[in-house]
Amino acid sequence: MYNALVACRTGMGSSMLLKIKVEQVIKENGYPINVVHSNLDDLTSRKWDLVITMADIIEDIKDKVPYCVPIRNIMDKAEIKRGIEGFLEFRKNTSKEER
Amino acid sequence: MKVIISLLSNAGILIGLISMVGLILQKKSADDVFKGTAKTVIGFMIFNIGSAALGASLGNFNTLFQKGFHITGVVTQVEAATALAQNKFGTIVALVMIIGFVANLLFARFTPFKNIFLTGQHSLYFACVLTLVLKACEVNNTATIIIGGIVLGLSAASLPNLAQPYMRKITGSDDIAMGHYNLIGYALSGWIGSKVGSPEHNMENFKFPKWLSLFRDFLLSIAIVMIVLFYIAAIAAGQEVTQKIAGTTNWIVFPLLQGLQFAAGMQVLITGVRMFIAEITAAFVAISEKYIPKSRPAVDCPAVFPFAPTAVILGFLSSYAGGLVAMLFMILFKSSVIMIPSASIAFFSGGTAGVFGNSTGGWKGCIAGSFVVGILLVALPMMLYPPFVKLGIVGASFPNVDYNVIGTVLYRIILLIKPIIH
Repeated sequence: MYNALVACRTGMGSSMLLKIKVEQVIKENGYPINVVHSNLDDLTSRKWDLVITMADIIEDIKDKVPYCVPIRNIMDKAEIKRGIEGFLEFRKNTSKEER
Repeated sequence: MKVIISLLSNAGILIGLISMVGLILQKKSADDVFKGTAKTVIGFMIFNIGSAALGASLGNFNTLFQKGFHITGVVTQVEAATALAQNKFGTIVALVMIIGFVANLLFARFTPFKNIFLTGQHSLYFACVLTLVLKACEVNNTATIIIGGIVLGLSAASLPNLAQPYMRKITGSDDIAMGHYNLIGYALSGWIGSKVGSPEHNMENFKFPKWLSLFRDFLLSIAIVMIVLFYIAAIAAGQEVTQKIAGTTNWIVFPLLQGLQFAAGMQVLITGVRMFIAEITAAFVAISEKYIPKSRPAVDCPAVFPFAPTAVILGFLSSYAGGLVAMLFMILFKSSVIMIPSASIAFFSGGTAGVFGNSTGGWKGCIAGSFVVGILLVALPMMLYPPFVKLGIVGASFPNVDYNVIGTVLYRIILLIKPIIH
């Protein structure tokens, strides 16, 4: 199970909807991901496997987390799905290298 | 019976029940229903605690400002004004919000206005404004809840249409609408943009200093601005007055602590709001997707930020400048009430206005559109502030454009028809 943080600046409206959409995508596809919704203050409060947030925030946070999924249209499930699959692919490859 | 009435007159329990209905409608498991309901109620209680803390800190600021300048300095910070309204009319506000959600679904189902307004905190803030407007007209509680709820639901379903032509330009699709109650302002900004420039005037050459990104952090921008404001007020009020309010704290340290305290209260308030709207928003999404064909989600403003991140920063600066100009005019014209522009509102609302102006007029449109919206965010609250003061809502106001335009229109209409009914 991976831990994902869905966040925006205040952790209110936009990331709330993003979280709802991300959970829909995860449920439909059965991805092994646990979602927590908060604001960016929780970025360093625990260890996240990935952070899903709006594309314009990525610049500020990309160095602080192992993997980011930037989303342009928060209601676009296809875009969210592509982003999460990119993460799962990345994890598969890195775990191979470690072996 | 007494037990039930006492239970249901608690706004938190009411909101919890609504979220329980939402969870059951989504056919969630029993433990999810229990968990979601409990978290909604607890969230609402946290929201109340934040409201009280914010109200206390705001009270200190108002006293210092009044003593220092002999005029009222009003913080145009929607959360602070909400805190005051919540402390006074909590249950009515909650009921207006609930009726508003239901009315939004009904309007979207049965009229051509198909927007589902998903920004929960804005529904809450607008419910506060409508409650205060109706209460200022001395409308009774039942009528306030019904009229307020219907106006809220109608605004939610229809107003996003104003900005939709520009939303299509910004996002390149018609899938999402803007769910942020400055829609009249955003449409205006888009229109101004089309008059002063063209989208080809792009802003790739704009480079902003790194420290400006501080203001992207909501909490920090509030803390910084409030510390500065507290120091201005405290120094104007002088050592003696400030020391009296500060008690055992040194008067020079007091403004710093109060500014931080204000931000802390804000964070508690927001954490509570986030918790109590989470389940309701999820239910709202699920119900509209299932039962309302062709409905369109209206989403919070940062949803458009990825499409033009530079326009957000430029729009923030330009709208804050507009707000300062508006404040300067209030000082020059010796107004007895001064509206103080808020940095966080300028960032989110002004930044969004910048994105709209940019979509039609490039950097020229961005600057012009957000400047005008910046003026409106500070000037428009003057219209509703006097009636709100009579209700004891002092020292904070609701800046957003739609709250003031719709609120003022409603206020005038009710005042006009009230003598006829009676």
